[in-house]
This record gives sequence, C-alpha cells and structure tokens, in this order.
Amino acid sequence: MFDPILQLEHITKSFDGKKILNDFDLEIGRNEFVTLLGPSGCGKSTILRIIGGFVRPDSGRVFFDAQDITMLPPEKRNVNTVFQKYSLFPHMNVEENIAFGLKLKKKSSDYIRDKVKYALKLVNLDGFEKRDTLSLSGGQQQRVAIARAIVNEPEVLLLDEPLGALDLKLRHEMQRELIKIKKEVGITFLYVTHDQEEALMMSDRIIVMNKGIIQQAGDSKSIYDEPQNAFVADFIGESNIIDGIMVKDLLVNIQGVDFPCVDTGFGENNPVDVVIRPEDLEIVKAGEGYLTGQVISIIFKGAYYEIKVKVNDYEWMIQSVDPAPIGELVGLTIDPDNIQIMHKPLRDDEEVVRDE
Amino acid sequence: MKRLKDFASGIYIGLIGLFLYAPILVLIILSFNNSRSRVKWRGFTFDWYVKLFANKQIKEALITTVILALASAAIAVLIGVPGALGIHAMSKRRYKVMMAFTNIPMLNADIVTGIALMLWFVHFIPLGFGSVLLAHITFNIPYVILSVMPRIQQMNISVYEATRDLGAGPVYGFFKVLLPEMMPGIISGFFMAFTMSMDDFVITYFTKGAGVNTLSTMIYGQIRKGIKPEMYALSTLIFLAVSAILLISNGISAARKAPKQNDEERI
Amino acid sequence: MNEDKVRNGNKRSLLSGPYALWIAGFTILPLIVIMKYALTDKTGAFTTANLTAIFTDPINRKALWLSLKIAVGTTLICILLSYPMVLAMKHLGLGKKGFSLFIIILPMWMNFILRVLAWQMILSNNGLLNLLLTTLGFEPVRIANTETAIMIGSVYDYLPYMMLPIFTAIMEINEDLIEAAKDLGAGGFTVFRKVIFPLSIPGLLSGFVMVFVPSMTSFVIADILGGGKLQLIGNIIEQEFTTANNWPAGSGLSVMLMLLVLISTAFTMRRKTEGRESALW
Repeated sequence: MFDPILQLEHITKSFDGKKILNDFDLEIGRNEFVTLLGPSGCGKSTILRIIGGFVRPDSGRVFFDAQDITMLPPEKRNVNTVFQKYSLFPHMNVEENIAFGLKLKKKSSDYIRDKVKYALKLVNLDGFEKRDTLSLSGGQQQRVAIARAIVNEPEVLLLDEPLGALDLKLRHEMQRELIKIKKEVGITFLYVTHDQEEALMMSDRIIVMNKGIIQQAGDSKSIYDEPQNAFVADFIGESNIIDGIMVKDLLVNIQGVDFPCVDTGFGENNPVDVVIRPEDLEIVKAGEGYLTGQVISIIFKGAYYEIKVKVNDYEWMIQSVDPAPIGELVGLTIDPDNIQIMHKPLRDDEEVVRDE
Repeated sequence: MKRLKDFASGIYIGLIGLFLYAPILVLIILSFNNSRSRVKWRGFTFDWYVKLFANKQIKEALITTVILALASAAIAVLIGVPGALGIHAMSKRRYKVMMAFTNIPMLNADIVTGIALMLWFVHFIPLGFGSVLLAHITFNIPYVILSVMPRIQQMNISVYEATRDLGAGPVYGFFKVLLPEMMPGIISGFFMAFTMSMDDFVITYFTKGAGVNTLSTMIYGQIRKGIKPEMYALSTLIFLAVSAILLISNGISAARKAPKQNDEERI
Repeated sequence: MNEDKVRNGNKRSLLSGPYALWIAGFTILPLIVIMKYALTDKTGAFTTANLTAIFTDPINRKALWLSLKIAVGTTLICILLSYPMVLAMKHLGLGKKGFSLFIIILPMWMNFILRVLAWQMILSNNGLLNLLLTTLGFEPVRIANTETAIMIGSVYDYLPYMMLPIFTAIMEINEDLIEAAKDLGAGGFTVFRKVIFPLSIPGLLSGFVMVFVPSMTSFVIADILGGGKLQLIGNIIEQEFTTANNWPAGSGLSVMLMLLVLISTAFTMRRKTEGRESALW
C-alpha cells in the first residue's frame, strides 16, 4: 500500500530564463529511501530545495502529508536538510550546532542533552560535544551535519549530495552508516546525487532525471538491468549502446548479425537502440561467437580486465576475469536474456549525455 | 509579507542616504547661490568658483595637501613594505611585539599622537612642512603594513623558492614573483595612506607650525572669521573629484572580477 | 636545509630595520617625551599633579564627563543606525556589486572639516533646519551650540566608520548558514539573533574602536558645532597648548586620556584573533 508523504504536482521552475523543471510530478512514500539521480543541471537539487522551502516554484504545488505547504517558509516545514557544504555554524561548537533546532522548539535542557548524546552516538562521534567545528575533518563535519538534522526527528530528511566532498573510502563508509541510521530512526530519506553507484547501493527507489524530466523510476535492479532509454543505459553502469534493427519479436539484428533476444513489442524491421553490459559479453574463439573482431586494448582494473574488441566500426567493451592478448582475433557471444532493447530517443533528454 | 519588508528596507536605506548626503547637497547648492546667505537663494552664479580659482591661499593649501599626501604615502610604502616582509619573517614573539607597536598610532587618539610628535619635534627641528611630513609618514606606515600583511601571509613562499631553484637571484625573484603578488595590498595601502593624509586635521594642526597650511587647517582657520562661499565651491569640486575617483576604481575592480557564481546554480 | 631557512628568516627580518628605527624615533620617543612633560611642572620639578588634574579639577571632570557622554551616545546611535541599514541592504540584495559600498564610503572621503561645516550651517539658529521647520509651520528649534548639535555632528561624521566594518562582516556571512538556520526552524529575528549578530561581532568591535575613540577625543566638532562654549576634554587639551600655553598640564591630560582610551579598547583587542586584525576595512 503506497502511502505518499510527499507529493509534487505540476512543478515548473525557471532560473535566469532557463526552464529547469517543467510540469514535474513526484510522489515519495513514507519511510522510503528515494534517490534523485542525474547529471549536474538536471534539476534534482532544485526539487530538494523546493521541498525544503528555499525555492518557490513558478507554478505547481507541494503537498506534505496531504497538506499544501507550497507557500510555507522553510522554518515552518517538518523537513530537515543535510546540506552539501555542511553549513555548520562556525561560532558554535558541535553540541550547540546539533541542539540548535531543539532549542528553538523550547525543549528542556535535559531532553536536549540526551538527544544530542544519542545523535552523536548514532553518527559515531561520541564525546565530540565540546569540539570546535572548524577543527573537524570533512567526514566528521558531515556527520555533525547529519546529526544536527536528524536530532529534530523530521518526517522527511533531505540530503543534498552530502558525501560529495569525501574521499572514496570514507564515502563508502558513510553510505553504509546512513543506511544504518535510517533503519534505526525510521525517517523518509530523499537523497540527491550524481553518483550512480551510490544510488544503486543505498536506495529503495531510484528516480533517474535528465534536463528536468524523469527518465525512469524503479528499484536498483530494474534500473540497472532494464534501462528504458539510451540516457539511463549510459548513465547507469558501463554499457555498450549500439544501433540495431528489430527484425521481429525476439530477434534483433546487430552489425548485420541476427541475435535472439527476449524483448517483444518493438515492431518489425524498426531501428532500435541495443544495450549490452560489458560483464555480459563473453570472449570465445574467433568464429565461435555471433561477432568476430580484434582485441585493441586491455586494462587491468583489479577485479576484472576491461577489454575492447573492435568489430567493424564499433568498439565493444567487455569485462572479463581472463585476459586476452592485444591484436588477437576473437569471437563475442551473449545470452539472449542480457540483450536490452530500447526505443530510439524521442527527445533530447532521452539521449546519452555526451562529453563535448 | 516580503513586499512589506522590501518596502521598509527601501525606505530606511533612503532615509539614511538622505541623512548622509543632505549636508553635502546643501553645500553644493549654496556654491551656486548668488548671495552669501545660507538660507536665501538669490539666483544662480559661478562667481564663487571663479573666486576660488583666483584665491592664492586656497591654491597653496591644496598643493601642500596633495604633495604631502603623495609624499607621505609613497615613503610609507617604501618603509612599510620591507617592514611587513621583515616582520613576517620574525619569530612569533617578535612578530607580536612589532605588530603591537604598529597598532599604537592607529589606536591612539590623534590628538595624543599629534601633541606627542610636536613636543619632540620642537626640541630638534623647526615646525614646518618637514615636521608635518614626518608626522604623516608615521601614521601612514601602519595602514600600509596592515594592507600588505594579509597578502604576504597568503603568499605561497614556494613560488619564490621555485624561482631560486631555477637559477634566479633573490632580487630578481623579488621583483618577478613577490612584488606582483603583493601589489594589490601595496596599492590599497598606498590608497588608504593617501586618503588618511588628505583628510587629516588634528595631527597636521599640531605639527605644522605657523607657515604651513593644508586644506583642512586652512578651512578651520577660516571658520572663525566666517565662511567664504568659495569654500562651498571647494566642497563641490572635492565631492565631484572624489566621486569620480571612486566610480572609476569601482568600475575597474568590477570589470576585473570574474563573473560570480550564482548560488542558485546548484541545480 | 632548516638552517638555511633560519638564516634566510633572520636575513629577511632585517628588512624591517628601517621601520624598526622609525618606530623607535617616531612612536616610542614621542611617548617618552610626552610622559616627561606630563610628569614635570613648569619649573621642571617632578610632579604627578598634571596626571591627577583630570580628576581633581572640576572643569576637567565636567569636560571628561561630557566627552564620555558624547562618545557613548555617538557609538550607540551609530550601532543602532548601522544594523538595520546593513540588514536592509542585505535583504534587497545590494552590497554584492560594490556600488552600495560606494554610497557608504563616499561621505568618508569628503573633507572632515567641510562635513562638520555643512552641519553648522544647517543647525544654526537661522539656518536651513529652522527654515524648513518654519515653512512647514513648526516652531524653530535652538540646536546650535548645544550638546545635541555636537552629537548630531559626531554621528554624521563617524557613521560610515561603524557601518563599513559591520557591512563587511555581515556580507561575508555565507547564505548557506542562514538557510541552515531556517531549515532548523529559525524565523527572521531568531536568525539575526543566533546567527547573523554573533558572526557580525568582529565588525562591531572594529566599528566601536573607530567611532568611540575619535568621538571621545575630538575637539573640532565641539569647537564648530558647540560654538566654543561647550568643552570636551579634547578642547581643554588643545587650549593648554595654544592659548593657555601650559604644556605640562596639557601633556598630563593627554597621557591620562591615552590611558582611558587604552582601557576602553583593551577588551576589544583581546577579542580579536591575530589574523582578523587586518580586517579593518
């Protein structure tokens, strides 16, 4: 039973004449961990800021628990934000920062002291009450920012790319901690990031966005395994995306060769986009696969080799635990299950994001 | 609610602006008044401007003021910049001591500074342009040092070391690397010293002796005898000159600044 | 390698030699000289009378009291006028372009004496203020040569010196912090009380020093706007050196004044961290 706690209806917003969101709709369920995922400029942070109350939409409405909060200023909303740059108050120490919201609610000092202690424990910063915020490392500051937001027990926590400034190892650690925290306090998390690995790992539901439009929404597995357009396929994970012709149901023609596949409903002899994940391609002896090509590069990536095989004009990317010598002629084969067919992009936001 | 706040803000700013500029406007208007009266308008005239340019006393005072300001600011830079570099290189304790001494002329009331300098000067030198110059340099140097010091502290000393590593001598390294880095601080220090000097009254009053007059001291002397409307003309011209200088320098710094990143760009 | 650094450090500190000499000659020496005058009487004998005179002589006491009143009044009024001004500017988004700064700074650059002069004309009994009042049908006021006149002139002269550092401090506050405060439930005034004001304090202290000290020790404003009838401590000191020709007395008063100023600004100096000291402007 989907129980929405947040609803955005027909939200439109422009900045400096540029339309960022156009007639945007979104529903977030109670206790979900939802991630807005997309490249810079896609509008994900704007949505967060509209929900937080820092940006007024040009048109459209925001509902919180079925109540219209569109015109409500941020201080009156029952949501809290973990800011990208932490925004800790420099003139206050750790416990004063965390207690800020509670003091405004006129809680007793005993209550505040206990809550602060609990919040610090939750983020693994026991004993840091009197520390000066400027003396903390990035990771520690981030955790104080999280504590400061959660301690107010908001119904929804907004997280705006909170882990962006942390190094890789710390980021992974914090991702696990955030999931733990969410389980313990039971709040709805609305998370914004451009890091697809992060999104895949943490979310109940991912909403992939580009240029203000939702490209696809679903859980991690379906987004990864079944991207619905070229943009999503390219944005999530590594992909080989190539033109193909849908011959008929269950048969697609790629580079002149017919491949059995498992998709239907794309018509007959229609041009389509084909997506194949590198880890799903298998290298076999030349002539024993659907395609034959030459190995042009191989890079050792630790857990696997990244191998590029050139077939005619297209460079296929394969991930394999076995190496293959450069220059050798090899064959490529694939399981029909692992071929994903998509419609050709109808709008520019559905297209792959190119590095100019 | 926001509209009300906007309105109130605008009104308040307008009132303060009025407060700050009304007297200046009055001076400007009176400078064109064809009468010595402060309250009756008797027609438009440029007379006072003409008389101003013919007035030898005022001209002398103006020249003295400008030369004094330029010279004292320049010498303050020549002493202050090496001074700042030297202080920066000192141990923490000596640094604190030197900076404390640097702050003294700025914290001290100018009447005390002026009198103290005068008392010492009378014993050794006749009071005149020289003594005023020395006094101005004295209160200018701290402004130069405080302007330059932040830039020195921010300077990456390894850039200088890189030039040495590549074969440059210390002097070359200084001129090619350190000086350009410090230049904005030096310029603003010079500017501030120049301004402080142009505007100074009290210290000049005590250290100038009988024969020298800056604009400030001359005007002060005139007040007793009753103000000549040439003074209003003078005020107007100063106002125009200062506005022009500030507008130009604002224009220059605005043109040089890279376009600021809009916060809302976090999209 | 470390030795090199030390040697270079020592060599570089020699650069401040000329400045050190200057300090000795023109900052320290004059202070010694004025102390000497303060501690001797007209015959040259040692005395502390000149120092205590600031409290023992009733005329001095009266002047000192008036000076303090004016200084405190001016400083408070400047603070009360500055904060709403800066907040109003921040609210309207001015101040990021430098032009509004220009508006505040411009009067500072006009000659100090001329500015006081302008007020003398406005406030004199048949001056502009009364002209305005009588045309509007009100009674004329007699402000000229009163404490009020001196106060007005003082506030006018020193207001930009209070506004500027407060302006700089508040404009530097990152907008993110204000958003964070609102996110946590703070409304307009609370944001000011808990975030903006505390972070503006370094600017406030700068402004305090730049207004309190000059307004307490000034004699020009009182001279021009007080008509020579009202005496601030600065006026008395000035007279000792000009008309009264009593240098020891004048020196004694100056030294005591310097001490008073030092005491009242000492706590502001301690509050500031080293790096911030140069944030005067």
